[in-house]
Amino acid sequence: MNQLTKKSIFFLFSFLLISLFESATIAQTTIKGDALFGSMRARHLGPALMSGRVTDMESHPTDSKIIYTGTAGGGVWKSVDGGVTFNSIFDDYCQSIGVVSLDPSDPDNTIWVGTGEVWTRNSVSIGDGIFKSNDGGKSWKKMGLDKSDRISSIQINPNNSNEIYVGVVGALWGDSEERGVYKTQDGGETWEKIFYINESTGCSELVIDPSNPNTLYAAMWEFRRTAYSFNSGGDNSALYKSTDGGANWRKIHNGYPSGSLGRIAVAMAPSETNILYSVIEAEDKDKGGMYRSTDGGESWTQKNSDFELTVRPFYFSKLAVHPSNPDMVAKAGYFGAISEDAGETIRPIGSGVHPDIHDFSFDPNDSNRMYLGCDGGVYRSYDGGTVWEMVKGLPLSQFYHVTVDNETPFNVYGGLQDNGSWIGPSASNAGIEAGDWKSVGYGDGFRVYPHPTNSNTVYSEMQGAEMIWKVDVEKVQSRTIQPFAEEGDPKLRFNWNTPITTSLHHPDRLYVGSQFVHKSDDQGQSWQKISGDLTTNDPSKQQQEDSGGLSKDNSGAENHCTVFTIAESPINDQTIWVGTDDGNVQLTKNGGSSWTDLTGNIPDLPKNTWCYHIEASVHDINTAYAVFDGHTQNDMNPYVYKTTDAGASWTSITTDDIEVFARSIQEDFVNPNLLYLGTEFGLYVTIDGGKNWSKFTNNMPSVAVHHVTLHPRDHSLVMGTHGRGVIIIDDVRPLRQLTTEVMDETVHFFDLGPHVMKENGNGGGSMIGGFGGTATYGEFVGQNPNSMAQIVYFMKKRHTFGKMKLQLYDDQGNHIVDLPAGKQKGINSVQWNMRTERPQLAAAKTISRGGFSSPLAAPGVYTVKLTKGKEVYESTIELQYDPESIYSDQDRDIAFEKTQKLFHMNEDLAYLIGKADAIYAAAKEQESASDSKLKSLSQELMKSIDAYKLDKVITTGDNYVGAAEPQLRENMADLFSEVSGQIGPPSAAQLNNLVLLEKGLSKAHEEFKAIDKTFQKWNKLMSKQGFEEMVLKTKEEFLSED
Amino acid sequence: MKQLFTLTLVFLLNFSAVNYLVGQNVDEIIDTYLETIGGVEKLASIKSMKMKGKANSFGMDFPITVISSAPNKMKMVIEFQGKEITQMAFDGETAWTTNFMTMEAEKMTSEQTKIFKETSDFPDAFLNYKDKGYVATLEGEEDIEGVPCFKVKLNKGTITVDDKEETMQSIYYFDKETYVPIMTEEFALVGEMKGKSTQSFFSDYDEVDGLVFPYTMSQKIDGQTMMEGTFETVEINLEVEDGAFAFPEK
Repeated sequence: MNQLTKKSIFFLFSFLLISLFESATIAQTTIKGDALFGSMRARHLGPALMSGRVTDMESHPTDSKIIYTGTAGGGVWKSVDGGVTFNSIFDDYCQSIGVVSLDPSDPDNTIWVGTGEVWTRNSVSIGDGIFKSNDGGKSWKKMGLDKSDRISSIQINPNNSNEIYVGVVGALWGDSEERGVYKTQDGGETWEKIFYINESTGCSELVIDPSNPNTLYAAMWEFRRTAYSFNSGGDNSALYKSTDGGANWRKIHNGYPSGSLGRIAVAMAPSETNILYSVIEAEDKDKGGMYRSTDGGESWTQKNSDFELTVRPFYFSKLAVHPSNPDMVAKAGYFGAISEDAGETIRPIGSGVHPDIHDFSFDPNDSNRMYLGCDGGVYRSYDGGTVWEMVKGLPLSQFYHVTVDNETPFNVYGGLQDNGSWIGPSASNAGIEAGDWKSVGYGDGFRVYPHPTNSNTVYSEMQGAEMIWKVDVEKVQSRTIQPFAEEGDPKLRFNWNTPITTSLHHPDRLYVGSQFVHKSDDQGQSWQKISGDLTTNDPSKQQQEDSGGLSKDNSGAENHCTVFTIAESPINDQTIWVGTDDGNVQLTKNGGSSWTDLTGNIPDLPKNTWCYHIEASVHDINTAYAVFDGHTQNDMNPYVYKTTDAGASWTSITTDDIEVFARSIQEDFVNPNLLYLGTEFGLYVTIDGGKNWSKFTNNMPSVAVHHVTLHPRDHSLVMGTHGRGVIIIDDVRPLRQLTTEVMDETVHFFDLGPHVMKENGNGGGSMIGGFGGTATYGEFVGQNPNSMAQIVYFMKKRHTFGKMKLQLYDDQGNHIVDLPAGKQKGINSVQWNMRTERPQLAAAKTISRGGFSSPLAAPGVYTVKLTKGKEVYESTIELQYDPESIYSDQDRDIAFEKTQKLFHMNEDLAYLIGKADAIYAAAKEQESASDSKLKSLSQELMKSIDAYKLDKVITTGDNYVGAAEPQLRENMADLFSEVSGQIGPPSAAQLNNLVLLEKGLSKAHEEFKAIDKTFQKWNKLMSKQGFEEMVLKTKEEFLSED
Repeated sequence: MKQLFTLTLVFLLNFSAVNYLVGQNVDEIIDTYLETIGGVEKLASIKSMKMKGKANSFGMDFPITVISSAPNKMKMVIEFQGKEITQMAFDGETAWTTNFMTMEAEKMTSEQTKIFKETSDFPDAFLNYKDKGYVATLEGEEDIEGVPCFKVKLNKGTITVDDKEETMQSIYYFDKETYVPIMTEEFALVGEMKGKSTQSFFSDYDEVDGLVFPYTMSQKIDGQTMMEGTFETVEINLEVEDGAFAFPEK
C-alpha cells in the first residue's frame, strides 16, 4: 500500500469513526460548560475611571518595562511597557490575589501567584492556593496549598529556584491548621509546613535575606473575622527569625513594647540586608508604629508612631525600602507615607492619589520610578513618589450590586467598594468611555436604583445607610432620604450593604431594610415600618463598638442582625420576601401586616447562614429562589434553594458542578428552567432548573459575581462583579431555546425574531456609527454591544472536516452574501452587517475610498443556507426598519433606488475600463510588430486608451496627500459611498451630482465606441496576420471573475 | 455484506488504535499528526504551495493569495479594486509590506525580519523539528471549541528582541480523535501587542494532492475575529519564480 492510499484511508476512517461515535452518544447528551455556550461571549463595561482595590505591586528585578500587579478581586495584570498599559493574565483562576513573586533567577519566565487577599476587610474574597507560570504568565499551573485561603508572601531562594518559602495567613473566618510558613524544595511539587503557631495565627509577612537565603523573618498574626466582629492581635502575634532555612525560629522582640501585638509588617533594605524596618500594631498606640533594626532584627528602635504608621493595621501593613538608599522607606496607609530619614519623619505622598494604599514598589533600576496600589487602582510616579498619575486601563471596579433601566440604550447602576455609586450606559458612541459614567454617590456605594418610570430620579446610598440619596441626575441635585428611628423604636441597624429596592407595582415606592422593612410611597419623603424585627436580634452579635481587636475598628462594616435582601413579588405587591444576614427568611402575603418565618423549612442549611439574595419568580407567585452565603462562617459551600409553595418547603438546586459559595441568582423571564447564578468564582448557568450547572467562561473571568440581573427588553444578562466591573452577556435568547432535543440535532437554528436595523448612532449599537470618542491610548474603553444582525445556531459537534459555508439569499433566490460560518460545538453566532456585496470598481493607479462601501440590504426575509458537507440546513433571518426612524418608507425607496443606480454605474465603468485595459495589453504586445500597419494601429490604440482613461480613472499619484485629482471613477465611488452609507434619501445636492456623473458615464460609453471601432479594425488585422481574434469578456464574465 | 464486514473490521481496528493511543507521549502525538496530514515523506517533498481564496475581515471580503516556498519564503497578496497588494512578503532575507498611502513596497524593521527568519517554517513546523532544535512538550489536555485536544507547546528557541532574549513558542491543540490541529496560539514578540496571543482556528480540512489541509483558518485576538480566510484552490509544488518574493527595488 503506498503512502498516499494509506493516509487517505486513515483520513476516511477518521470521518467514519467520528460519525459512529456521534450516533453512539446521542442518547446521553448533556452538554456542559464551554461546549454549551459556544461562541456566546461576555463583554466588559468597566469602568476603570476609579479602578478598584489593588493588593500587591511587583517590579521586575532587571527589566523596568515589566510590572505585575495583584488585585483584590480582579486577578493579576502585567505591563510590558513600564506601566502604561496592563493586560489581565490570570482570568481563569481565583481573582483574589495575595501576592505575586518573580523568581530572581528567572524573572522573565517563572512567576508565582499566591491567591487570597491579605487586606482582610469585611468584603474581602477568598483564595484558592498557589500558582506558578513558567512562561511569564501565559499559562499557569496550580501548585497546591489548596486550603491556604490567603497567601501573604512567596520568597524564592535566589540561588535555588526550587527552594521556596511561603507565608500563609490562612482562613479569615474560622480556625484552620493550614497556616504559617511552608517550604518546598522541589519547585512546589511538595510542601512542608515548617512553622506553625496555632489555628488562629497565620504568617502575615515573610522576608528572605537574599545575601543569605537561610535567614528568614516571619511576622505571625493572630486574627479572626466574623460577620459581626473583627479581632486583630493577641499573645501569639510576634516577629520571628530563622537562620537555618526555617528549621528553627526564635522571637526577635528586643526593643518592642511588652503586651500583646497585632499585625506586623517587616521589610529589609535591599542595599544593606541587616537593616530592617517593621511596623507594629501595639496595645498602646504610642508604642506602635515604625521600628528599625540595624543588626538583622536582633534589636529594634522605635522611630515614629504618626497616624500613617498606626492606621488600620489589618488593612495597611506593608513596607517597601528604597533599592539603594536604606534610609528611604515607603509605608502603605490611608494616604501612604514616605520617610527619607530612616523613619525619623514621614512625608505624605503627593495629593490626588486615591486613599487606602496597600503597596508600594520601587523600580530596582531607577528608584525615582515608583508604583503604588490602592483602593483606586495603580498609580505611577517618576519623581520618587511626589507626583503620581493614575493608570487608566485597569477595570477593577468592585460592584456590590447592579440594576438597569429601560432607556435606549439601557443604563447600568451600581455601587463600588470605596468608590461611590455610578450610572453608565450599556452602549455609547465609541465604546463606553470614562466620561460616559456619572457619579451619584460618594463613600462606599452599594445598591443604586433608577425610579422605575423616570430614570432621571435615582436612589443611591453609602455604607450602613449613613445616607440614602435621591438624585436628580439631570440637575445634579441630591437630597438624603434614609429612614430614622421613630419614637419608641430601638436603634436602627443597617447593614454595611443596606438593601434598597423599588416596586414594579408602584413607581414611587421604595423599600429599605434595617432590622425592619421600611416602606415609602413618596420616593423616600416619608417612611412606614411594615415589619417587626425580622432578624434573630442576637445581642452578642451587636457589639460593634468593641470590634477591631488592638486597634478599634468600628466602621459599620460589622453591623449585623440586619435585613439584607428584600424582594417584592413581580406578580403581586402584597407578597414580599425578606432575607437577613443572620440567616432568616421571612415572607408576608399581606403587604407586611403579618410575617411568616420560613427559616426552619429550609433543609440542610447550617444555622445563621447569611441570606444573600431572594429572587421572587416572575412566573409564579408562590415560587422563589434563595441564595445563602456561608463564607462568613468559614463555610464555602453553595446554598441555593427553590420553593414553589410560598416557602413551606424548599429544594436545594445546587450540584457538584458549582465549586464555591454563591451570592445571587436570576431567574429567566421566559424559560423558568433557565437560571443564572453569581458565585465567588464566576457565573454558572442551568438550563434544566438546577439539575446541571455550567460555568460560563468565554471572556468571563473567575471573578466574584455579587449580583446578576436580566434586562427585560434587551435580554442582556448584567453582572455586577467585585473586581472586574460590569460584565454583560448580551443576548440570552438562544439559551431559552436550548433543550435536550435541540442538543441532539446536528444543526439547530434559533429563532431570534426580526432584527431591527437601528439608526440612532448616538447611543451606540447603531449600524451607522459615530465619529469616535475621546479616550486616548491606554485608557480602558468598555465594549459596545454588537449591532449586527445575528444568525445563531447550535451544533452538536464542531465542524472540522469537509467544507462548510453559510450563504444568504433574498426572497427571489438571489445570492446576497457569504458569511464566515461558526463551526464550534454548541452555540454559534454569525454576524451580518446587513450589507450586500461591494460594487466592482474600475482598476486605477490608486484605491478609491468610496469603493469600500456596500449597499444596505433591504428589509425583508432572507434565507440562510448552511452547507455542511453534503447536507444543507436552512433558516431565515428577517430585517426590519427601525420603527424610531425619522425617515419615511418613500425616503428609503429613493435611497435604495439611487444606491442601486450608483452601484451599477460604478460597475459599468469598471467594465469599460476593464475592456480598455485588456485591449491595451493586447495592443502593447504588438507595438513593435514587424507589420507596420499592425504596429501603428497598435500604437494608436494604446495612445487613444491612455487619453480615454485620463478623465475616467486616476492614473497617477498616491492614496494620501500626493493624490491626483479625482476622476469619474473616484467621484462615482464617493457619491455611492455617501448615498449608501447614510440613512434616508440623498440630498438635492447629491442628486444634482448624480445627474452630472450620469452624463460623465454616458460620455465614457460614447467615447469608448471610437476605441472599440479601432479595436475591431485591429482585430481584423490581427486575424489577417494569422493571429487568433481577441474576444472581449462579456460584462457578466468580467464581473464574476472574483 | 463483505464490504460491511470490512468496514466494521477497520472501524474496530481504528477504535482500538485510538484507545491505545490515549496516554501517549508528545512524540506519538506529533508522529500521528504528521502521518494524518500526509506523512513525513510527502511533507518533505513539498517545495511550494499556492493558496487562493477569500478573506473576510470585519465584514469585508477580498480575494487573497498566499504563496509559500521552502524553506521559509512567503508572500500574501490581497486584491482591492483590481489592484494586487502584497500585504506581507519574506524572501528569506528581507520582510516587506506595502504602504497603503503610497502603494509602494516598504521594508519591515530588522527586528520583524529577524522574527520572520527565525519563526517561519514551511511546509510544517513539526517536520524534522528536533533537527531544527525545537522542543515539544505535552502540556495537558484542553477543550477547544468543544473538541477535546492535546495541548502541545513547541518551543523554537530564543530570539533577541528589544535587547532581551524572548522565547519563540507556539501552542498547538491537536484533536484527540483525529490529530489535526483545531487551534494554534502564538504570542507577539514585539510592538504594542507584545505578549498578547493570537489564536488561529482551523477547519474544513480536506485532502489535496495527498495532503490533508485546512481550507478555513480564522484568527482571533482577545476573542475577536480579526480575519478569516477560506481557500478555494490549493496548489502544491507549482513553479514559483525565484524573484517572486523579493522586495521590489525602485
